[in-house]
Amino acid sequence: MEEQITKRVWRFWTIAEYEQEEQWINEMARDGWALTAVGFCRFIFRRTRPGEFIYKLDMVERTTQDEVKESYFNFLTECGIRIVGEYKDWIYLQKRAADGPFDMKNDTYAKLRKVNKIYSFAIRTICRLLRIFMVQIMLFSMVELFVEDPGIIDFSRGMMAGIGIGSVIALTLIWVPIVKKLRRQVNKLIDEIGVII
Amino acid sequence: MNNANNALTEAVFYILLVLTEPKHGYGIMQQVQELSHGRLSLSAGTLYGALASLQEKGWIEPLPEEGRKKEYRITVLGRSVLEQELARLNELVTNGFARLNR
Repeated sequence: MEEQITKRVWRFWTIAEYEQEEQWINEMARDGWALTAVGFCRFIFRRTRPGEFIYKLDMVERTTQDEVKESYFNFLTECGIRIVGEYKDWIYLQKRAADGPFDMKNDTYAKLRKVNKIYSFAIRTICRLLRIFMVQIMLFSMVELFVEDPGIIDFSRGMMAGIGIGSVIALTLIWVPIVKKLRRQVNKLIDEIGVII
Repeated sequence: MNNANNALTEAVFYILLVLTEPKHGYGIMQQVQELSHGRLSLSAGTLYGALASLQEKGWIEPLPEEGRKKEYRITVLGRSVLEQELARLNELVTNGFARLNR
């Protein structure tokens, strides 16, 4: 068997940078590195003929029922598309370049549907963060109310401050800008569709 | 998929049209592209979403499964939607030509 040359690349993309991420993966494929697996900030490539494959990112909610997901994946397979990686709600689709592109150029509706999916993923993530934060507040106020040991109270206050500051930083510095960026993209696409009346 | 005045999008119109004969997903994509001379090419994701909504509306139905490829065809309701749309388009075309050539 032919020996496979692989390489592993660490790279971080926020969900709002999906276009750049997609572009980067496609550039790698053009240079002869085909994506074969994806993990947290980790991409594994295999040496292939330059330009053999093209790639696309798609989003499927993790909460989607297994059978719905399976039927979607089967459908993609029928269309000659392979799912090479899954990470969180993202799926990484691969297709032979010879079979033609994934989409029509400038399909604004398709783009809007996609950005909208990413936007709701970002909102869901923020809600999840807030929920975690609220549970923490509840737990620590219970400690304040029912525990008398000053050591435990001090520890609990320290934790509370840390988690509070951490959540605020994560929300305002990371998630709020992402949501704003996505919101702008959604608005721009709605304008582009430009239905009068 | 379907806007307020019930006009069908081009994608929906062509999907319904090609499903007057049973077809699987990939077949739909190819024939829509052919009929529109390459102008309209549906991505797999778009087509999958459209097929799900059309089934929900009862305009198309899946055929009993044979093998792995799922086939779909238009329903009686879907056919009447398509006929109404054709009548509407026909009105537009007739009025359009009548006024412009006056």
